[in-house]
Amino acid sequence: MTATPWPEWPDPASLWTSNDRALEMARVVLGSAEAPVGQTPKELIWRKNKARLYRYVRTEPATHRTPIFLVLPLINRAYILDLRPGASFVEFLLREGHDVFLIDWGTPGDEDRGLDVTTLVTRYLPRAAKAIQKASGADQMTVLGYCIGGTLAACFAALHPEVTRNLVLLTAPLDFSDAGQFGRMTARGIFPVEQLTDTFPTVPAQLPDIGTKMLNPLASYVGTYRQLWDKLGVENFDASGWQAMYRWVNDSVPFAGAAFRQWIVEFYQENRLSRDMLDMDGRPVRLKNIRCPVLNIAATRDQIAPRPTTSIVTERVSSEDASEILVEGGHVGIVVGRTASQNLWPKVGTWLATHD
Amino acid sequence: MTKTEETNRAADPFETWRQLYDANEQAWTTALGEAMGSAEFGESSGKMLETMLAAQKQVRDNMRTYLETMNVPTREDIARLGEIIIGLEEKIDQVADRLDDIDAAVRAVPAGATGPAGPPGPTGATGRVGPKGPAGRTGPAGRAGPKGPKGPAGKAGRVGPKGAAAAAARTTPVKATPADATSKSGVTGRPAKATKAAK
Repeated sequence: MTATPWPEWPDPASLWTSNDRALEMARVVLGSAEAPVGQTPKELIWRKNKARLYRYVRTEPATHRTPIFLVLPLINRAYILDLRPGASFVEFLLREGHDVFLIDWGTPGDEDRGLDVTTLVTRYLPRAAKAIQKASGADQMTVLGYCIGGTLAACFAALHPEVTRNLVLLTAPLDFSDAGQFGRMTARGIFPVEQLTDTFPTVPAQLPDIGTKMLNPLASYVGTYRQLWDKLGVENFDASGWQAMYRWVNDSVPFAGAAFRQWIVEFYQENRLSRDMLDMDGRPVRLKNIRCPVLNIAATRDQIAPRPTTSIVTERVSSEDASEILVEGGHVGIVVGRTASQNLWPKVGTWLATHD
Repeated sequence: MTKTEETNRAADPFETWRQLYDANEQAWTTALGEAMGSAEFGESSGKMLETMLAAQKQVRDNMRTYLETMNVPTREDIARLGEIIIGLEEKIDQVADRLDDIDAAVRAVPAGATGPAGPPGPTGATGRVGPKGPAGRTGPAGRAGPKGPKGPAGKAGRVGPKGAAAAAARTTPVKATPADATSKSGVTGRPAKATKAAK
């Protein structure tokens, strides 16, 4: 009779190593709320309600005459385009010689329950554009919008062609006839948008955040930490980049009630912009009124603004010069990170230089 | 990898978690994607949200009632104040916009340029009736009114009365000249030209 061998005990040292990594992981995750972000120096040149217009400080005069007006989404923090040194689109644009302005919508409060998308497009953006004209001395500007900010930028460009020299759209949804999972979640008769905005003056930040994460729940809620676990095992891993990104992902802002209602009803459910039915302050907003050069940037694996929502712009505008860059990646990944700095930003820089 | 290393990795709970995730991620992602993409899931999540909102609304309403009873300002009261301030800011912005427009219009006028032409003046008054002509002589012309700088032509003066003796002098109506274009005052008609008295 042969005796069954005892299982081999793990080396206690390996458990300690693993525990160290777990502790390091906890330190990185918990410390991410304080991760330094948006560090490029900037000055405030205009403000209205919670919105702030910043001009990024240049040490030397701009070499391009057309200023760039960055229009950011309503539900995310504006520092995504200036995440951290070395991973900042703003920093890249400054290095390329541009005069860069950014509108940060701020955090709406209960008093902003009546603030809708129309007000933002017809009363905030034109005044911000006027402030840019005064500050830069240029009559026209390149309007660059990201995500919902891109949709707002397109509306602004359609209403103010005299101000818009170029329009650049970064993963901006314009046609909601096939809006993917978001479209199904917010469909009329299913999504209680009226009840939601009646209950909350501002839609809590967690709601759109959960909606976004539910597009890929496993990757959002588990995969993030699994990736960090692996990265912490790599020698000389700099956790500050991961922390900055993690901070941004979990740092959403509330959506003003009226703006949320208009966004869901007029854009998602009724698809008014694409169907040429959108009016703002009694003025028709038509994509065909956009005549300036347009650059549309879309991502292949974008679940927030899926390909069908972003692809129509080049066909619908009246511009003779309308082109598109399709980038491999997701909604956020194409804007920040190594791929962005090596792939997308140089392409955008070249396009901007040739359309100055 | 040695047998010891394998054993250690297997005994590491984090490593177990990682392996479990890697082995199941794709299958779970696919299953969750299919489940959440269905109409049933959308309907169900909508109903869940409705229930949650109804409960939340109840809590808010109760809290408002309580605060009102206690004579304490509610969130809505404070928000209303904020709305008033935001409304005032918008009005100030509108005034600033108007001032900018006026400023731009003033700057658009080149230095030394005259202003735009004024509106035409009122119609000139009718010339007064000429005085009675002397006997046997041509009646004098009706007196013209004061000359105005602007306005359309005045009416012709009426015919003067007949002379007393011999043949009566008669005046003939004469058209008034157009008014001066730069005055607000009216222009009277030119004096009526008297005809020669009949011999």
